[in-house]
Amino acid sequence: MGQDKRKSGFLLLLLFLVVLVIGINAGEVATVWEKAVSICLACIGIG
Amino acid sequence: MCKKMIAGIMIVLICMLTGCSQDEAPPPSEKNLVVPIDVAGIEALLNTRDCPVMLVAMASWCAPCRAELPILQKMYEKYKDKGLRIIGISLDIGGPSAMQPLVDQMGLGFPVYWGGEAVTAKYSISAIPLTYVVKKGKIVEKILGQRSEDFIEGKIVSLLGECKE
Amino acid sequence: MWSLRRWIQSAATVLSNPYVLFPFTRNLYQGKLKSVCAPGLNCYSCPAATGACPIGALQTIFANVRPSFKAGNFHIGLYVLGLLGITGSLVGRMPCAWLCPFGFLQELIHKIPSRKIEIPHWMIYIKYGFLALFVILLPLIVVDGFGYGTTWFCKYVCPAGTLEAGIPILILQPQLRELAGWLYVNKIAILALFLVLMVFIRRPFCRIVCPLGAIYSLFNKVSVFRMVHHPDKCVMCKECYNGCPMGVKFYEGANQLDCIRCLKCMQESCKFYAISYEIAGLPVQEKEGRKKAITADQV
Repeated sequence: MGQDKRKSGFLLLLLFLVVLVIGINAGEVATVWEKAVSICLACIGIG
Repeated sequence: MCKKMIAGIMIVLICMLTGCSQDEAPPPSEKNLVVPIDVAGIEALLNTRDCPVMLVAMASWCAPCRAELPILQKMYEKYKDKGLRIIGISLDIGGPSAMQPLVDQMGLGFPVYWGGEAVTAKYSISAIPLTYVVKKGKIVEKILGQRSEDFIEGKIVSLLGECKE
Repeated sequence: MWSLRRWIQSAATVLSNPYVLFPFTRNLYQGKLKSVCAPGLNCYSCPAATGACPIGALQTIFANVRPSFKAGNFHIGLYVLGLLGITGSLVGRMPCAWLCPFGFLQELIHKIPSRKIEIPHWMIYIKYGFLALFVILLPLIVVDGFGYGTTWFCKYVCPAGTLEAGIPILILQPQLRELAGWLYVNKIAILALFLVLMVFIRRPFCRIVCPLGAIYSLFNKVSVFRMVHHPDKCVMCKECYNGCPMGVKFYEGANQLDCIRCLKCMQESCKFYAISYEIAGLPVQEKEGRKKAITADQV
């Protein structure tokens, strides 16, 4: 049990590194940038 | 716990699939194609001696833009014979294909171009929809945010008044 | 004298919002840094922000899932989830205590002297509802005729967005003031409500609403960095709870959902060395000399 708990953080870290790399390869970085550089009027209660 | 999560994921998937299955409108005979344009191309379009132009920056993912476009189309149909010119610029990072389905489904009659990052930077577009009123190549007014039909029509009528030159 | 954590919180607030040119450009920062999510809740429509808000980014991706699938882009938020997951697996909810500007603000406002109120424990589970509904399900499911959803949390709830973007943008762009309708009033009301609550309740937004905290909290029990409770040394004096910025009863168990690893209980509250932390299962012992040595048998 103790061993498992010790490893769990690193296993998750590895898993999410893979998730991150898949996301980057899918082109999601540019998608995030595209939305973040424009004021989201709908988000701040306008329109 | 696990069962609940699986159930939740299933619900999401079902909703996504059913939502995707809506029929698309048949393509019009003369398709209004979204084509790429650069800053020089836009300048050339704006540098005309006739009536003022409305340059409308938009993106497919922008909700206020999608709400405003049918109004612009209505105005375009009503006033195009009186000299109204509207030029749409899509800022979608995914290229012209992102805006094309909206142009088709809304049956937009005015030209919509696709501008890249350079266009966003050149015209310092901070929020969309953004409409520039352009007279003889010069930007004379900047209208930010989604506007009502009355506002847009009032603007157009006053613009067309100056069209007699 | 400010603690190390206060300095780091201040630095993180400045580093999340370092774009000082906005009064001149009247525009957002539009450089490439905006493609990286800030670790805390920091609105990307804030004129000074140079990073993206992870919760805002997730919502826009979920809201645009169908059209982007149609266009052949399979964007489902893996990049953002990857960033959040990596942070979470390493340190759990630690960014809430050390890096989040909105968390910092709540702690500062809570310093205003007043009668302090404690919320019932069940309220901490409300934030998972906000995460599931406003960040994930509603943006995915409620779509318009073109298949686009909307950013429900930003649009209807987020007081951090109102404070960092809603108010400054209307100051910078007077033209937009005439467009502010009931949605804006609603957002201002929510912000005002939380600003008042912050005086009386410890970090009310983080504990009741924050979807980012909700995501990080799921990692608390399994992250590489973990808190440790030593029941043999604990005298149940509840000093950890009294000093905790999140109202966590540490003596009831380490690594609870709302523990943000600020280490205040370990460094300031507990006089009995009943609280420590471990990294990858390896215990990190606090040096005895650092604290005034009051031990259990002296009391």
